[in-house]
This record gives sequence, structure tokens and C-alpha cells, in this order.
Amino acid sequence: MCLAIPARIVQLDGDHAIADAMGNRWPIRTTLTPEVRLGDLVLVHAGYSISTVEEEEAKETWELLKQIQTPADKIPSGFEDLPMGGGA
Amino acid sequence: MTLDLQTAFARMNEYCGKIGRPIQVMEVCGTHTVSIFRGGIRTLLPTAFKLLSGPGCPVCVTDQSYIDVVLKLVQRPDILIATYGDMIRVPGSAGSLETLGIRSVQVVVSSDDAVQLARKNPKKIVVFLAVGFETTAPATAVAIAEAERLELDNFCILCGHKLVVPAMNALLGGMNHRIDAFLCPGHVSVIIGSDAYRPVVERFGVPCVVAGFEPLQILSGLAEICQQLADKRPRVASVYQAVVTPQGNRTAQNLLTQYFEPYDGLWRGLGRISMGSLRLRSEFREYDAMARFGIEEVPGKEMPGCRCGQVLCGLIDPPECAMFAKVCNPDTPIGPCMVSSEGACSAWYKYGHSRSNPS
Repeated sequence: MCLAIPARIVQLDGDHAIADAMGNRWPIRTTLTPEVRLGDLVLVHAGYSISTVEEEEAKETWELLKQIQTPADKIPSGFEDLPMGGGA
Repeated sequence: MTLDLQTAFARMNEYCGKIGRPIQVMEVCGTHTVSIFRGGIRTLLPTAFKLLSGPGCPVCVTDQSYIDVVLKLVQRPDILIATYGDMIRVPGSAGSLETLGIRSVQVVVSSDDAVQLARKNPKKIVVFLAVGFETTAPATAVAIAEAERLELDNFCILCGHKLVVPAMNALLGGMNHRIDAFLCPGHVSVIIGSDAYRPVVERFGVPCVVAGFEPLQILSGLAEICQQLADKRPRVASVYQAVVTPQGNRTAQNLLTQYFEPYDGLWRGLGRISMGSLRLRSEFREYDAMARFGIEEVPGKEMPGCRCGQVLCGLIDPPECAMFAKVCNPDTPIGPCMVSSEGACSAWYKYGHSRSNPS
């Protein structure tokens, strides 16, 4: 429930943003990280960015997420409800 | 610093040899629990090293009384429940939101969605099930702020937020604990900062090491713990410095302080934990579903035979529960640790409960 995923801010209007992780885009709020700018990489949890993150760290996590993208009947437990929308 | 696989194992073996006794390390994050099982880490650990899965899944530690309150609220035709998906399967005394087939429940992926739900349904009162640790609680604070700004009078929360450090203190303060060190949660620590664990180290003398969720980060954290135990120099350390700072996210912390106050709330299996839960400050009472609907907190009854409480405290491994994998499984869960995908029982069930490491 406390898993945050890295994503890039691809649109930003006030504290409303669109985040992109591996081509998946969804609306987030940047209220908790007022310092972020367009193009920054952030960790997103439950629809909110909670910190900025380095490129290398983000790439490592995305790589890990790709590895666990398996067919639906073999989705690894614990990640099957991985929140592309922010999750819980 | 993240180590490579060989170095991590070599160091763990070396330091475990120096320690010269079995050690037990508790991970206090459900995401760690799952990643540890998925990565097969348990099977590779030195024989003297045992991992305990602690109360790190917010769904698992949500007291049955909370679900009972939710089930009471949904009886009202004017109420719409907004919840993270994890909560709909958690059993109360009479069933779960899912098994009871309750329709006035909307799954949301963020607290902001719950506020929007209230905007779109002005004739309903939206009750947001605000559960989760410090990672999730700031988002609830933002939702309250948003509801204030929009002057929404049909939005409130049922506050079930919990704090990680008081739970760690409670576990170490217990008579029978078996914990030599903590592997601390990565993303909770993004918010609270690694310095938040200093009082735990100072009071109890146990290492507190923050790690990320990738298997190598976890192993690096475990190697750091072994080194500290071998050197008998417990301290706060982070192998997740890329995102965890000593101070944490001040904006989020300020929001938590502004909207919430800690109190001695109920945790499933652990009872009341001193300053372990959050509730809305009195000035935000209008957003508190308990106050709004005049509900008192009554401790829930434990499920007969369910040993989730002992699992959450690291006192037993899930297979030691007589119901585990027999009557209690992910399809028909009895206890909360089997309900949540990040629960210890669910992880043990899915990743081979026969692969226990020796104690």
C-alpha cells in the first residue's frame, strides 16, 4: 500500500499535473512537492508526488516493473493491483 | 549504498558469523514483505538470519471495529463510501463491503478522487476511508484542505491513519518480542525522514535501516543491519538515499501537523498503541465522520482462531496458524493478513509457505 512509483511530470498547471511512467499517463497532484517543475521525475503515491527522484533510480524501478509485467493469469502477487493511478 | 548480490551475501554471512547467535530482523512494510518473497530472499539468507513480517500493511492493522463502523455507515441511504481498493475485502464482524455486495461504495485511487466524487454527488455525503501510514495521510490532509477551499459540506473522512514509529516502539516495549533490528519502510521514510527512527535506536538499541523495494536494495539494507549487529553499534542508516533524506518531506509533515493529531488508537492484533494513530484536530470536526454521525470507537472482537495479531507482532509465522491455507486463503480470507496482497499470510501463501527459513 505504501509503494510509490517514479514518473515524469509532462504537464503542470499549478499543483495539477500529468505524470508519465513507461508511457502510462495519469493526472496527479504536486501539492506535497511544491518545488517540482515540468520535466522533473517524481515518486507518485496515491495520486500525489511525494518527492523528486533521480533519473537512475527511476530507470531501475521502471526496469523492475517491466520484469514483473507477465500475462494476466500469472501476474505476480502484491503487484497485481499496482496503482498506475496512484493506488493506495 | 546498494551492494551487488555477491557482496551483500558475503557480508551477511561474514557478519552473521561474527554475531554468533541467531538474529531476527523485522520488516515493517508490506511492500518489503512482498518484494522479499518475490525475490526469493528468504530462501537465500544465512541460516542464523530470520526475517519477521511486522505490522507494515495498513489494511492488516485496521481494527475490525473500523470496518464495523463502515458497515454501519453504508446502511444510510444518503452515504457514499469512497475507498482505496484494498479495503473492500477486509472483514468486519458481519462480512466485508465486497461479500455484502454493498453498492454505495466507490473505489478511488486518490483522496482527490473522493473530493471530486463529493462535488459530483451533492445530494450524497461522501465518506472517504482514510487509511494508510504516513505515505497516505498527507494526501488525506490535502483532500480536507480542498474540501475546505470548495466549501463542500458533503465530504468527510473516517480516519484510520496510523504511524509507523509508535508501532515499532510498542513492539519493542512488549514483553515477548524477538526483534533484533528493523528494516524500515522506504516510502514512509520519504515523508517522515530517516531521523524519525533515531528515538527508537536511542531507546532500545536496535539498528533501524531504511531500504528501497528492489531486491538488491533490501539485501543491502539487511547486510547493513548485520554489520551493525556484529559491531554492536546500532544506528539509523539508509541505503535508499536517492529519495530518503534525514528530514523527510517537510511540506507533507506540516500538513499532517496542521490537520491531524496523534492519539492512542486501536490496531488490529496490537491493541491500543500510544500515540500510534491519527485523528482530525477538533477544528476540523465537521470533516470527521465519527463526530458527524455520532459514532463511538468500540474495540472489535477478534475472529475466533485467527492469529493475525501474533503474525503482525512477529511472534509466529503464518503457517503456525491452524487456519492458514486450510480454511483461510486468499480466495476466502478469514484474517486481514490474508486479505491484503501485502499481508504476511497472503505473501506466505502465494510464494510457498513450505520455504520457511529456520528460526
